[in-house]
Amino acid sequence: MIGLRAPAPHHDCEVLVIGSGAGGAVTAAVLAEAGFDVLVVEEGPWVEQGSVVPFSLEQMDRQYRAGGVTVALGRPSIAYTEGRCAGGGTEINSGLYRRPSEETLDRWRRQTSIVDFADDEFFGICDEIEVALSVQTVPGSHTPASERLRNGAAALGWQHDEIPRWMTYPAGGDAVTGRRESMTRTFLPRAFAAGASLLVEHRVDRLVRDRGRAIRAELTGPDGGPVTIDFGTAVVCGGAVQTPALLQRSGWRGLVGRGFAVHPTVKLAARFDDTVNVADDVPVHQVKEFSPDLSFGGSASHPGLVALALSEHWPAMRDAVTAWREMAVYYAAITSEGRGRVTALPGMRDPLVTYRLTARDKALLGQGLARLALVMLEAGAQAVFPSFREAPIVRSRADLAELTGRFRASTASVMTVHLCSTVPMGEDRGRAAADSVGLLHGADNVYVNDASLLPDAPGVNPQASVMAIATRNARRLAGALR
Amino acid sequence: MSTRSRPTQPLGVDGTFAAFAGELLERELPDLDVARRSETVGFVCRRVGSLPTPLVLGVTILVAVMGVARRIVGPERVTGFLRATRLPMVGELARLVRSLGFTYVWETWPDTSPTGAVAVPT
Repeated sequence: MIGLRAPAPHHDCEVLVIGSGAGGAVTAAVLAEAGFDVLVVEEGPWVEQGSVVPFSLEQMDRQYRAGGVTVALGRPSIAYTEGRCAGGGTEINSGLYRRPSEETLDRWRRQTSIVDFADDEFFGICDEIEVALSVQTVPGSHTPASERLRNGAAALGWQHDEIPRWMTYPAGGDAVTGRRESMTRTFLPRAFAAGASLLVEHRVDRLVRDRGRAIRAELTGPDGGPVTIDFGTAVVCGGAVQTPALLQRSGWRGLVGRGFAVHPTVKLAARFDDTVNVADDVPVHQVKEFSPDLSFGGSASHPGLVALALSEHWPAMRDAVTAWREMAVYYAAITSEGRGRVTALPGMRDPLVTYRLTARDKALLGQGLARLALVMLEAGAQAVFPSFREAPIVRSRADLAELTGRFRASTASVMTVHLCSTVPMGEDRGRAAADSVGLLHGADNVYVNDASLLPDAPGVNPQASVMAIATRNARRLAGALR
Repeated sequence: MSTRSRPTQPLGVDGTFAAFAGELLERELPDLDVARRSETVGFVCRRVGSLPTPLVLGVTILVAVMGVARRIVGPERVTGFLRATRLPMVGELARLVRSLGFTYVWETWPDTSPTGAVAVPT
């Protein structure tokens, strides 16, 4: 791949971008196109898209952090996933795209006192991103699992719609023929074309400081040896867990790492009378009747993931696993009032991540699971298998009361893929860890430009928010550095 | 040449955690043949070994306590207790093995029966 830089013990650059996902790739492209000497560092490898099956164990091995097994401790603990490859989370997520609402932008503006954060500019940038990523709805037929979700919501008269994706489709294509326009296909090549380069399989251990100014990055190279990079400006884009961990290891604490926000989800598997399982794709429909508190969608449904969904009450549910072709996994996601924390611990390579759901969150997860089960029944499911310990198998509306009665969030398999808000942006230093353009409070030349900056979870897939804010901030930074 | 063997790693494929994982899978998927069970245990151990470091530390401590308990009351009783317990953190050990193990089994051999038996071609 043109743009990959060869390993060496030392590098120099004008702007160091740490992380190559939705924040880092955009930052690199904007700054390189503005004429700056940009070096992007990525901890994971470059993996050609299409060389691994989406959502498979092989993909988890090659492109996810810790093989996809990462957990925010709490009661219940919340499993989460992070991309660890060139392109970051954009290489492994569902590719769904949704702008945040005007209400969300207004809440963010007020919550942390973000200045010069106008809707017009934000949504104008969204227009640009949507063109760059080919954001569109599926041109042909949807997957059976997606149609079931839509049909169930329609039967109940509940609000639902198709979420656009950043995908391109061949002429006459359908849901399963799309090609994702992830960062390795879009913004990273743009950055390379403008002169940026990418150093893969290098982990940034810490930034060396001289008071508020960072002057050097210390890294571990692919062979385990030390590497250094001297730079003028650093932009940290490692995502909402790795970014605060790196800043803390470098001596910036304060509000950094606090306020960790996610969209917790609970799952169920639904069994239909005919084949619905498409292992390597996810449904594009979502149910928004109870939005923003609750939304329902579909998950990856590899046979292994169907077994995983059944595993919480295996003795009662195990017989269904042989019917995985007629099954699909769905989720109920909530906007959470709870918050978590990311803490770098001395002597430990990885941070400790914790999250505490509130009583309202736990109740909402239960309500969400019951309503999702109802959607599945209306969609024609012959049996629904909620993923929590001692869960009943739901075969009719009469079983829903038992589901609600038995549900305890502490026994549920709770997970999330949307991580944000560990370095919130804004001028209010009592609430924000970085200023309105991502400059870390207390630092002269260290910026953050990823999901960490969002003041809270947007209630929708956050990639549009992340990319729009990253574009805005990178343009401001280019202006400031000139 | 020394005849002393290297001490086993608690989370390695020949350590206490692997023994527990193998026993748990044997109980929950009794018809999973030995070779597949061994392969699955290897996968579970690799994934647990690559957990973020604070989690590896937590699991290692739990496994150390489990190892002592196995010597005192026997492996079967400990595995039975861990399968059923709802104690915070402690109960997560069996859940971890189950979730990783089942995912691997059905991802690798999708037509495995609910008891772990190899699918019979029809």
